[in-house]
Amino acid sequence: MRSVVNVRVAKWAALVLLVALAVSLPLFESDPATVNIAVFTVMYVGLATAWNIMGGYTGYVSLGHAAFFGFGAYAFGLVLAHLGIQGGYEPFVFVPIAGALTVVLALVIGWIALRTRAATFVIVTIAMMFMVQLLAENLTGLTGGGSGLSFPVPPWSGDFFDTPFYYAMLFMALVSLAISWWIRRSKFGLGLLAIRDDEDKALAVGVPAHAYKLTAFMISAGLVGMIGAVYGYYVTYIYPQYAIDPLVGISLVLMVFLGGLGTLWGPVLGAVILEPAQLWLAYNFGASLLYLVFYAAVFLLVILLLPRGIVPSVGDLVKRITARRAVGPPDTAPTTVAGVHSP
Amino acid sequence: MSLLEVEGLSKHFGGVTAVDGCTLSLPPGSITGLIGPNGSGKTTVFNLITGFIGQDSGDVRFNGRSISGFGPNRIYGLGIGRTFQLARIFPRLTALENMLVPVRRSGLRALFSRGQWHEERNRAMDMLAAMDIGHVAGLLGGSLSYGQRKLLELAAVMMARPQLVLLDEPAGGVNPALIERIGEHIRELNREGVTFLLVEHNMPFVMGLCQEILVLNRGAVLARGTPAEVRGNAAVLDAYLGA
Repeated sequence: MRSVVNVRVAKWAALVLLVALAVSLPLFESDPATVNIAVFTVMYVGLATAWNIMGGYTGYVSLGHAAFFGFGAYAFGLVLAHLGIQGGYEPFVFVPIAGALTVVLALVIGWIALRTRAATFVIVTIAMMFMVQLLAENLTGLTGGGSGLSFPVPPWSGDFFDTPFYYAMLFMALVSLAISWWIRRSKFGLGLLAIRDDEDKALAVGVPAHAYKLTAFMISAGLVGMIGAVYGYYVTYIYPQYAIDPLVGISLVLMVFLGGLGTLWGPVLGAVILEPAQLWLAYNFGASLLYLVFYAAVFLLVILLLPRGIVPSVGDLVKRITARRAVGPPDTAPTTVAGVHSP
Repeated sequence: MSLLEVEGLSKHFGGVTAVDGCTLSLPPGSITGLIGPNGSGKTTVFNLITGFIGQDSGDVRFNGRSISGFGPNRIYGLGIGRTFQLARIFPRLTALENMLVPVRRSGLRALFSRGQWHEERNRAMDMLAAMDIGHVAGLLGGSLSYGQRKLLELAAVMMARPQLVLLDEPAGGVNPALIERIGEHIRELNREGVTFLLVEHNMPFVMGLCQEILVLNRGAVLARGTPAEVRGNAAVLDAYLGA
């Protein structure tokens, strides 16, 4: 019992330390280039965590989440322009509006896409993403089409410019994590995991699968849309092919698979490993597409060596070691405590 | 009044008639066996009753109310549970979590609150213990033996207190000692008031358990009666053994 309490205390302490570290980062690291990497890393932590609510818990792999990212950015830019908001801190207040609009889009897309399962769903989400991209390119009166959409420019100096965005992205990442954690331990989350394991069986025991999937899809998309909104404001100018970039959607999936699909911390770990690595490659080898080769290599390694991702594999290893230690003589079978299993 | 009434139920798959004007009724508190040769439409009847597929014609009434066109989750919510031919459980959830998925809660707040409420958890643990699988509560479904999965599936379907449970081959693929135990559990649940309809190929098991047997052949009820009556029915022997 004592060790269970200690583990819980240690977990909370680690969490508090991690958050404190993340919050204080801009205080001891003021180089804008480094903070810029941190902004994108924390952005992907939030995106991967939000994607995981749908892809990990429910098992429906969406390759079209870039649509929600870009839509959130466009919706935000248009809302700011419409309301005549000036650059500064004020625009951040309107981020939830972009989120709400993205949820409406997800309701429409999800309503259609979630009639399909497995590979068909993946393909439908890709198709939906390209449709959103085409709309952004062609509704020139609204989006500016190929010439892009501009955001209000904040009146901050170059040394300080990235810091508010870092905190905005960090806030979104923490919100995504909190929601992901909350869902995972809720009755709703249990239903999602049941759908992931066997959807027909879940229906047979009363889980309203369509409503559950659609809800998870909308929550996931709404968070991604809000992060996209902050991104648009950060880069101050968005174009259809960069705001709605298929590679963003693929990066998310890779991060979650590397860290651990359906786990709480897997997406965080995957994002923290892959995004800085990608940016490092981009800075050191110019704008070459070397990082795509790197991504392909990581994908292969994950499939070959860590099909379940880092978090579950390491978790099992730790469990095996502690079980051996706790049990002592190897002839005693390890016991499992009822209801306890690693997230 | 009957608990479940099926009237003139028909289903075609392309040119194949799987169920052809099937009519049956189950009195509350009964255990009824549904037997018939392979391909006679037993599982299709189950899928029609539980809303997994829609019928071409006919009607299904539960407690006097038509449930035709309802989805499976809604039908479960009304009080009809089912198990599957090859025991289906959630492999990456623990046995205890498997038990908690079917539990119903009302209201959005309840849905987004903790996945394990104390009273639900206690009831699940009691039910697992009653099925003699309390010791595997913390293990993942996928790591259980086939027999344990069978018991877990039956235990889990009972969590929402269904009035009627359809069992698809409850004795299929398990050893004789376990078949005995599964029969005991069904009798015990039946004494508590649960009505059962079961599809089964193990004749001694069905004959020993059921008060009434329905024989399905080519999608329609060919004969019905007590186990003794059905055993002596020439048409039944004909359908099973071929003319």
